[in-house]
Amino acid sequence: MLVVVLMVSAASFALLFLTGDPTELLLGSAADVMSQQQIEEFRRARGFDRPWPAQYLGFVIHAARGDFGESLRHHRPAFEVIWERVPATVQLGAVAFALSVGFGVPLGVISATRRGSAVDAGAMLVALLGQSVPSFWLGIVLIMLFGVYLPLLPISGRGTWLHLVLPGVTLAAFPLARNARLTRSSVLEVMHQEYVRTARAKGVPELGVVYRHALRNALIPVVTVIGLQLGFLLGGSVIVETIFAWPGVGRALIQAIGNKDFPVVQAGVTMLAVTFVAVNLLVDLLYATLNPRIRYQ
Amino acid sequence: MTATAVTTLPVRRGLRFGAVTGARAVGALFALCVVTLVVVCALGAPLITRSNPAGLDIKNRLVPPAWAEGGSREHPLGTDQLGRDLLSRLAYGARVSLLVGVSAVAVSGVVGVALGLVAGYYGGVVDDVIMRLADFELAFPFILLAIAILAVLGPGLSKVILVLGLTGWAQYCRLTRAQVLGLRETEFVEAARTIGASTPRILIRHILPNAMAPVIVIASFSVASVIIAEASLSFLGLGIPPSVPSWGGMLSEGRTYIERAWWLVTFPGLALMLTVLSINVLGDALRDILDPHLRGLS
Repeated sequence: MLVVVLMVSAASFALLFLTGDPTELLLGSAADVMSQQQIEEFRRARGFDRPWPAQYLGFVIHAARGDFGESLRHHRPAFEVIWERVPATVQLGAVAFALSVGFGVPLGVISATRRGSAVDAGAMLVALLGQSVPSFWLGIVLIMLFGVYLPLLPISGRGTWLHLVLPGVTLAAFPLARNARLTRSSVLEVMHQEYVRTARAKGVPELGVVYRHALRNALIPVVTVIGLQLGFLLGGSVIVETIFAWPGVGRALIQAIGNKDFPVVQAGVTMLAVTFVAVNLLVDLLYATLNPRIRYQ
Repeated sequence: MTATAVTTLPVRRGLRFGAVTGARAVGALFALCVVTLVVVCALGAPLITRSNPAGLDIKNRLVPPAWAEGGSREHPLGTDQLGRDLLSRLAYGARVSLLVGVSAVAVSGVVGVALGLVAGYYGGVVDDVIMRLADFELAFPFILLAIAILAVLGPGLSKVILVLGLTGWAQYCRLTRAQVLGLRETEFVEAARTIGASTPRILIRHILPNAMAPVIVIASFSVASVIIAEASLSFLGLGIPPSVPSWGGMLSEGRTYIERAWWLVTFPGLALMLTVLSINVLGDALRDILDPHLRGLS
């Protein structure tokens, strides 16, 4: 885990050096009006004249304290610019996560227990579509629908809970479809197991077979994937936040890229990456409590 | 190490077209038609439409599709905010999508398979180092990595291919490694080793062909996800520069005119969705044809 965090920090450190000298990148158009001497001074002040290992060490020490330098545009600490956007992203992510699990898993169970029926076919067609729709297009279509033809829901910004509906649905579409498909195939597989046959043979009612015997085991692979999805919601939120003008970390990141505000870009990327790693660790721990079999390995 | 050898057997040879039946066969056939159509459009873009995808025509801006009120036969799907023909831009956009999808997957496939072969065959420290790198790669949302790298490098076709290619190799690496671990101890590899075949020869002539089936299946699904990733990046202004018509870029520009010109965001999105859907369905079929045992991989 520590190795991954170190690699993340190295990756975001290396970002600035992809183009060679970060001085130009950080100064942007300001470099044109500065004298050669001023540029040299800036370079020395930032420590870009020092050897790489020393610079990396400095970056890690500062980053660990949440110090990514000052935002070039907002003239306050870059970390602050990102940090104040965290609640919005968490809120959106939580809603999308709840939707994708709350609708995806039951949909999969229903499809599996009525295999081959019209309900099954319909649900799986919707799931296949949900997995193939790019989220940004779904977002645009929803905006067009609710913004132009059916003005019932707000289409941008954050405020009331109604503002959450469209971005939440857009972000949830892909994981929801995936959960439904995965749950269905997992339940179908478990239904062929011998302990399910045993349960049926001893006269357990069908609902009991499905919910008490089959589902508990069928959900193990589903939980793994759901855990991984939490992290990918972070990646997806970058796009969804941009479309719906949702004031979260992802949108701040894209705006910073547009403004060439690299301290904020670094802070944003590191923030998202560390969150991602932390979430994965949490899921691993949770997984061990849910499935006693892996605890002893 | 020998314990893992029994878990994977060499993939049986032969294609099983019979494995795809009923509604799945109809779906696969439809998907094949869509993909063929997209490929034909991409290759023959200049033949399909005579309009220049970059040809500005301010007088004819935001013309609706031919069947809608105010549409013209000259522009079957209408024009955009600069009077450029939407159909020809769509056809040229297909080129970008397919080019990026196939090349990026080729890059990650070659890198991943090569590393997987080496990691699986040699084991030890080499294996450890490569697999830790792969874990990092898999543990990181690749769209975020791509956004971060492209933010610094700036947009560009070859940059997008390289970034998407180099951020997707880990799954091929793990898959190939798992296959090699099983194949390494089989009798035919043993035999090759006994008669003095060199290691590269064993890896390429004997192990690689037997490890390819699941790799091909994963690659087909990856083409679809890379196409979506490219469109998302172009939509964010980080992928293909606006001067080149791409589906993601068209959606991004069309978004501004959403109230006046529904066609600008509808057709590129439909093209994108149908292409991705069809590639996914074909991937499913391919999996069943190559080896029905691979079900569940996706």
